[in-house]
Amino acid sequence: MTKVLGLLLGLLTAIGGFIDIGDLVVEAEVGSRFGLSLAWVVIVGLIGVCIFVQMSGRVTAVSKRATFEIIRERLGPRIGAANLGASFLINLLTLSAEIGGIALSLQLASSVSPFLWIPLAAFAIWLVIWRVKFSVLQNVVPLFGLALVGFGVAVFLLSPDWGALLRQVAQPRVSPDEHVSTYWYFAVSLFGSAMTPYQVTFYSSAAVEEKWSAEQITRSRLNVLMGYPVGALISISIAACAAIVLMPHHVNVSSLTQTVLPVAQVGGVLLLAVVLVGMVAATFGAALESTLASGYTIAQFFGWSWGKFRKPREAARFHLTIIITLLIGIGVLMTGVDPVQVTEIAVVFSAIALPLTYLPILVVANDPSYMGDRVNGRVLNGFAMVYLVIVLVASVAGVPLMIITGAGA
Amino acid sequence: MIKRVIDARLHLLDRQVLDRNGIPISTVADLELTDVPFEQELTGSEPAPVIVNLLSGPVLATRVFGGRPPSSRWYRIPWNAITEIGVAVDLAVEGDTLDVTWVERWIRDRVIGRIPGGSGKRSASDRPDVRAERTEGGDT
Amino acid sequence: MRSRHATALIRACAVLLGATMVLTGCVTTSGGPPGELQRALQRADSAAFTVQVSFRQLQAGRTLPTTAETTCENMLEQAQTAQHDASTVSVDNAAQHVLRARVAQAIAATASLIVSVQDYLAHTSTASAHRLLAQLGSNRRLLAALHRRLGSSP
Repeated sequence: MTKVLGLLLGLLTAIGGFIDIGDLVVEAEVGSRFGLSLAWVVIVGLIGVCIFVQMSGRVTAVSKRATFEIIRERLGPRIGAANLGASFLINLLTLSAEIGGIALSLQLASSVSPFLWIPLAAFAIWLVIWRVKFSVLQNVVPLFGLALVGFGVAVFLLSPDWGALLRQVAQPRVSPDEHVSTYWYFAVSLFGSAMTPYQVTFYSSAAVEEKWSAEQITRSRLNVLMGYPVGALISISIAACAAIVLMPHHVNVSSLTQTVLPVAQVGGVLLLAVVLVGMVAATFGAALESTLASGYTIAQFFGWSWGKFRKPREAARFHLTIIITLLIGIGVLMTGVDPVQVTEIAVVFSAIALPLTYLPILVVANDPSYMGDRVNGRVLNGFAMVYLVIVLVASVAGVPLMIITGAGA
Repeated sequence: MIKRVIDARLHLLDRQVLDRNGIPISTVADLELTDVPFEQELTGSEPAPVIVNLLSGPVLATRVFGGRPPSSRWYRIPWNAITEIGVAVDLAVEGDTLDVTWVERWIRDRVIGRIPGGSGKRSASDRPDVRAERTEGGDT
Repeated sequence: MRSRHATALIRACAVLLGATMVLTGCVTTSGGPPGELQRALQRADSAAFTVQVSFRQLQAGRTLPTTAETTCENMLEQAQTAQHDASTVSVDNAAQHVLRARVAQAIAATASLIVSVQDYLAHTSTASAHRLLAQLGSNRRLLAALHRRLGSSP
């Protein structure tokens, strides 16, 4: 019984953990401008993140080495340090976006300025990392993120023309008002928001935090393979809501208020409240993970003692890094920059930097000196190579597309 | 003792160093070798250079940017403290006794240990199964 | 050997950057001044529509007052950005100059209507909700008319 319960819990966690501020912003934006014609990117990103995340978890569980230790070992200090710098900066951007997302979601529920919520949210994140058990942190917060199912409910309540929606998915077409390069820019954005690199760092470090055994890898693989697709469906339903309610009126989504507009339209106060809870939880969970990820990357690169399974004073530099990162995140947001724009930039740069973490993990997953007889199988490698190409193309195309389209303006 | 060929670049450099309790100390940033005669013809009879210390600390920056720090700034981990070289380098000594951990100790005692809950006496994040309560590390 | 690779890389980057520069703005400034004015109008209309819907939701008890207030605040920012964008478009001729003034005026009206809705929500206004919604509707019609007019202008 407890085993079934544990499985269910893991599953629900994976569902809730899939969505973060990137999906809330970019999906609504894409839905309002392109309908569901970019839904295929979510599917591509979903398969990619499943392959990638479970591969990094397996590498860590088998070799007992975390991602960034391996990156430094394989790439040497020079390229390793460049990789660390890029990854850390993007992580910082993502973290700022997530904290901003918490503040904006709380603003929707309270109409209190986000500038008051930002320091409070950051303090709450620190407190949870400082005091709360890893398993609680990893399981309970994303569980509340499950409330985002409200977006799916809203789609049904809107009783849309399903045939038309499916046609948008099956036969992607760029509307005449939009430029083709804008379409591809948002494709890269969505890809980056589905395959956020912090998830990989977090997941592989979690394997160390929770001392995963071979059996637990199988279980976690099951969770990811079953939970993430449901998360992706929720993510697509955010786009569907915007496509049904906002697209016919040519609304350009620029804030979270427009993301929840369709939900209130059909679901009223109750569904709106549920979705707001989900938004706060999802962004808070993602903020926790990306904050920890920034500590993990730095500590692993320099070989410091790290992890929440140690007491804070036994991983002093790790905890100090986390505090400093959070302070920088607050600083970024307090300049008055729009968190929605930070999010848009963060997801694109996530896509651009993907090869930095993807490639070393793929190499090590095939290296018997780390993995013994548990190296990648042939089928997995086949998929992994296809994704290597996709990841590289998205990475190379990211910056030019951003410049050409004026960041999707 | 089983003899094994170790490639310094492949098996030593940038490897994680763990102390006797399995706590990460540092990574191997560089190696210190015994001197070979400098600026003179080698006759072939000189003893081969031997690794005396693993180096860590600011040495890393010079491997990234080039140059060479003064040897007074090297943090050394003596070669004979190593018990095993596998996916990590294991040591026979406590990390707290090594110079290389002074930053960690300083931050622990001056910053993290002073934040309420930092010493972890009642910490909820404590997992007793990981390892037994360690005695308080001495100030330096 | 290495320096040759480096120069090749730098050259490739330069070519790529150059190509990008040539293509730059083909989206953001497409359509010339009328196109830019159209985009400002669309931004303002998005804001007006969002406020309209949110306000109606609140009247019908379908949204939280806090959410409606936040919506007005965010959309006011959007309208102000649109107004700024419109009034800084550099025009090519006198006809465009006239159009720019009318666009900026219409968007200014959007912004001030959103402020009126904010006042209503804060109970500091005597205007009726019905009247505000009607005004928002007619403002959106004006924005749409200007948008059409710009689409047909040379």
